[in-house]
Amino acid sequence: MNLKNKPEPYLAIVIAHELAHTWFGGLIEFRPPENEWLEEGITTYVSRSALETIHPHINPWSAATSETMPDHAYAKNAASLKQLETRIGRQAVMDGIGDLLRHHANRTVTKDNLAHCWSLASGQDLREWAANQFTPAPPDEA
Amino acid sequence: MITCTVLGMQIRTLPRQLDSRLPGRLRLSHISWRTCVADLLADHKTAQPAGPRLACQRHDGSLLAVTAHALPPAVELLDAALNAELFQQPLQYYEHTLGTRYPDDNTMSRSSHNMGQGSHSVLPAC
Repeated sequence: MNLKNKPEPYLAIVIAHELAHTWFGGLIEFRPPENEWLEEGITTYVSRSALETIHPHINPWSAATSETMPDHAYAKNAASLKQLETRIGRQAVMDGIGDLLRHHANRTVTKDNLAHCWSLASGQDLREWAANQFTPAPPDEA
Repeated sequence: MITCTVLGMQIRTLPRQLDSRLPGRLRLSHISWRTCVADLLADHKTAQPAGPRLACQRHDGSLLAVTAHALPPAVELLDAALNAELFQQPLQYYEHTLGTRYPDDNTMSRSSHNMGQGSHSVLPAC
């Protein structure tokens, strides 16, 4: 691997992604194990949001950029959170995730816990959305 | 616990006690050991991860020491490419946006993750 040949945000997104796992996977852990997609989806959403803020000239969500990024495999799961962002706004998405971290620190959490926190943060009942829309993306076809 | 046969006698004992269980003046060094043939373990399975230690500044001006652990083949690459900003910028974003301090900060108690409750200890720059 030669980092010099990688696109500009490559190392930045690797570090941002792995650093975010200190919270998602370190401070809280999703259960049951089938919900691992959630951990990677949230980590990818939060780290790409950080990248957007730190490097405003980079759009990690554009198809062309996303394909070159090391977290591309998780992009589809993170897209669910982008969808939620259009519905309740980024602030409410982040507030809900923050509430989840604070209220469940050093414990395991479920998707229902997360939906509850987002509902409180946004003032909308998101349980139905979470049940129907917030599901793991199907794997890419070979 | 190991089981071995010495001079036709089967001995079952802990490895560190084997010497005292051997008959007469026989010692472990007198035994010709045969072990099965196995592939060598890859370097990355036996080597300790290591990496640079960086000081990241938080919004409140305090410093947080972050160590990047990488497998040996990547350490050199990271050493050359890393700088504190690569950690500091997302760290500040996460702590500010999520309202939760970096969880692996050993200078604070594990129960005070809420930024409103946490004490702001200052780490020495590394």
